[in-house]
Amino acid sequence: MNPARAILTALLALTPGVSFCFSLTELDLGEGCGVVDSTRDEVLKALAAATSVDPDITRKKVRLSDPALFEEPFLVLSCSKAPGALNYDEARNLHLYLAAGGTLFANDASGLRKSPFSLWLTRALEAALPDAVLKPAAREHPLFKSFFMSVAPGGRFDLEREPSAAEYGARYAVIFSRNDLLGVWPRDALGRYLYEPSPGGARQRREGEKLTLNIIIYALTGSYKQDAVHQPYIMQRLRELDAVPGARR
Amino acid sequence: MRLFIGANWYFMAAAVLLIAAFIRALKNSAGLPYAIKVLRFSGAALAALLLIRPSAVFYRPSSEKPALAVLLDASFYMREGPAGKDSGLSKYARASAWLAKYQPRLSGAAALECYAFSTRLYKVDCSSPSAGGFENGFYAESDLGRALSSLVGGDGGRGSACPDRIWAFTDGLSLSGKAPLLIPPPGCDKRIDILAVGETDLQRGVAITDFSGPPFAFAHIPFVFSVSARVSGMKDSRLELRLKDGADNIIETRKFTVNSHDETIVSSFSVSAPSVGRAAYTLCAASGPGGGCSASKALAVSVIREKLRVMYLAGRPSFEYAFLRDYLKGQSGIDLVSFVILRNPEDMPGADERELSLIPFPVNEIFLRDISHFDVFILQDFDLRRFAADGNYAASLAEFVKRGGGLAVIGGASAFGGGGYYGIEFINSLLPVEIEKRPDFDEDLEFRVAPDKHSAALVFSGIDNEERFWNNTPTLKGANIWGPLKPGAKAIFHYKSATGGDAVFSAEKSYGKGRVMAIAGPSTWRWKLMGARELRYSGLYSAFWSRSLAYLDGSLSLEKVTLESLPRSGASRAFRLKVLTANYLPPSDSDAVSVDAILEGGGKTEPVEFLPAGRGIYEAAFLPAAKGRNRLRVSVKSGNVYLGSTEAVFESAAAPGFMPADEEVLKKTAALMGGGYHRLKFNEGPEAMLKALPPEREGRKEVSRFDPDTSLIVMLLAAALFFASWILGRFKGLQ
Repeated sequence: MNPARAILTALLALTPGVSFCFSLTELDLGEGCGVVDSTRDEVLKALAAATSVDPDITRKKVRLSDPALFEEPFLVLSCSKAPGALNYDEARNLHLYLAAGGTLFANDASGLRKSPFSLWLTRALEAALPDAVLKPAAREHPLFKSFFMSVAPGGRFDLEREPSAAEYGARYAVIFSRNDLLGVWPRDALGRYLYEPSPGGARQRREGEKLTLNIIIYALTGSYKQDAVHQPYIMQRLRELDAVPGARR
Repeated sequence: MRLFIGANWYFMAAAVLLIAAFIRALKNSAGLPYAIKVLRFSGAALAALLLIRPSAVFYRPSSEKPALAVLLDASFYMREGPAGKDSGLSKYARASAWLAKYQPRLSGAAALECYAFSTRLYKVDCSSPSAGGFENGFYAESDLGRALSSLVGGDGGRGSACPDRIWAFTDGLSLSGKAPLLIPPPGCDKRIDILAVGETDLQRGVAITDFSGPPFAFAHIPFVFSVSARVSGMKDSRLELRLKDGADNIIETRKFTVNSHDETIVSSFSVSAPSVGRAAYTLCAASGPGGGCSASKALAVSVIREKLRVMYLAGRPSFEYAFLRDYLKGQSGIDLVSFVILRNPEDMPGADERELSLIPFPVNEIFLRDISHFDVFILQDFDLRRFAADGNYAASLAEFVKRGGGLAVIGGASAFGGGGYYGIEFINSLLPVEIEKRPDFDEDLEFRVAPDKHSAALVFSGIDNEERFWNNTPTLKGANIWGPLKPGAKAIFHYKSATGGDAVFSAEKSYGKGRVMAIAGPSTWRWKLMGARELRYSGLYSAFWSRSLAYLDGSLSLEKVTLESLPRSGASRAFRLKVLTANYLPPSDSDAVSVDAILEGGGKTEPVEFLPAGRGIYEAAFLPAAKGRNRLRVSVKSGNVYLGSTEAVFESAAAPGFMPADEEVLKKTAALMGGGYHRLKFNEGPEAMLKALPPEREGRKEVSRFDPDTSLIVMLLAAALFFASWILGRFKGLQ
């Protein structure tokens, strides 16, 4: 077992009242796709260390045809090649999943600006979510401030300033990074990073880590951070309404 | 003597042409003897005269009495209401008796005509006006304006110009509250006197004459009560109008100084109700500061929600939080403020604080300052010991519920036993279930819930094969294992525990005026995501939370269809129907609400039409189907969805108690008519009022008249002239 994984497992097991409310479940589309154990372990370790989320480190994979798909509200799909085309049932399940509140984080590990995977994803979403198109995420979106203030591009590559997203039901149902956000995480057995982000180095890695965790927190809280902008206004309005005699409980 | 011509112009022209033609014919008859010419001309002239229908009228000088019309109000109040507090005589009988008593004097002074009026005008005998039969108007109020226009313009009345004087005997109750007030008919200005029938005086003191508010009010949204109080015999004293809530707490006080012996004070109160349900209010009128209530009136208002205010507090990010927050944000009827603990004190983000988007958890604001602004507080997987350790916070939460708030406690590893709720007395006392001292969350427990017999569990009404439906719902995962229900608590949903027995998944308990619902696990999101695979479960998640919130804010206690009697004097009845949709909101046009109503009484059944009078408000006014007990049955649907039914039972035709004449309205009416205002007193004759009559007019009286066209003598004379002319012609040898 990876030493980091062993430490994390021990830590979580010893923490009283822990409930694993999040797992980094992979969408299994076959060859060319997958998240290495080290990446998952590092991401979950960072998530557990930085936030109040208690992650489940068990490796989980689901296929689009698997009923268990609907038990996992957050899915990761990291590919360096284009998976096989979706059949009708798979496309329908992807549609139902995303429409009902599921979130898909797609990570392009190829390092190509117009990769076969990005083309595949575009086509897949045309079938599954015809009304939603992948567009660069708005900089003011809560995605960039769900936990960390994410101010610069991050990831193993520097192919885009911000990830793309497909909006459905007033939320980002699909988030797609061409910069290989997951590529900044894996380490070897000695604890050294496997890949050096280019061209930004450590700073680009740090931004990639922050954005990765922001995406997870966004899936777990929605646009909660946007509420913070409106809440003072809502509270002021409620207080004014309650200034009328007899109104306060 | 005066001469008149009765024919129109073409008969007169025909007569002239006849004479001209005759003269011309006589001129052309040169050999005709003069005597015959005279005879023939005389006959023709007489015929022409008859053609123009002349008449002669012979007069002699005489005097003419002024015309006086007496109108007796025959409304229900006049005919059935006693004339005084201790009188056994109705106001109508009192007015009739006065009229009969003074009728000789009135007839001596004026050309008297008497009428009774309710909804129509009836001519009656002035010496016994009670004998007139007008059963059709028995139940009705009276309409003085219509009676006056009928009197002047015909339609059962005199059918001529306005009489010299009109006396209207009325108590003014049919005029009360009507707008606009009357205006005199053309030609009747300053000719109409008002005579108040019955006692007009109220006893010294205060009477609340109006205390009304809207049929519906939205919680937290201000609405207005209109109030008026009549103050008699208390000039220069102080009066306070106090509005109180259902618990007898004074909400607001208005202070006045009474400026006259008989004054009506009109005011209003703007208030807002803090929670959903029937809110009771009382208006108290008190003499002076600190004085007790001299008069009071109660009123209940149906308070519904326009916006439900929800505070949602989660102890950590989770899919339950993400899904429920998304659902609540998507409801237009909900104002949501939510907070989630993103980082615990022991967490190490490995970044400078400036790189984090976190804000301090505003525990004071949430639990102490602003908690009263919310209707429902949701606490999910929240460890109160860590984030709200001060006992004041838990006490404030308990006070919030006690005053009528709704609290939902959703489970998780940091809730209930794991959240130390057992040791927090204020929280533990709120909960409907017994909880453990130690962590009680089993995250691997996978189960299906089934509803208990509870209104909050009726998430879908009328589903086919309910048992099969619940046996196949998406499973939930993870639950706090509770002890038994506390006394007074009720289970809403249960599940099969690992041992095979029933375990409570959600339960509720009332606390003070509020409600608490405990939900054992934070995985209802699975109903939404897993429900997407099967159409029949796709609405389960939203239906569960909609129903739970309706329970927590008290909406479930509201009836969707309610009927209330409106104050209405007289025999007719008025009812107001208030309708709420399945979401406990007033319906809009798109809800296609239909109302079926029938009135039953005396073996008869009659349809009743309720007319829209506002959003969700329908009103109907009708006469009872029969004397005695009547039953109004109402059934309401929205499209094809049955919303509910209700009924009201009432007794009809009860004789009204003593109601004093509305002197204020009568004086206003008299002033508008330009006439005088008098109070009818049995022992006081009409002399004072008769002075307003114009004097008798000098005139002439027709003695006889002569109409030649109807006179047999004239006809015989004409015939004789023509006959004589013919005989004479024969003697002269004319052919």
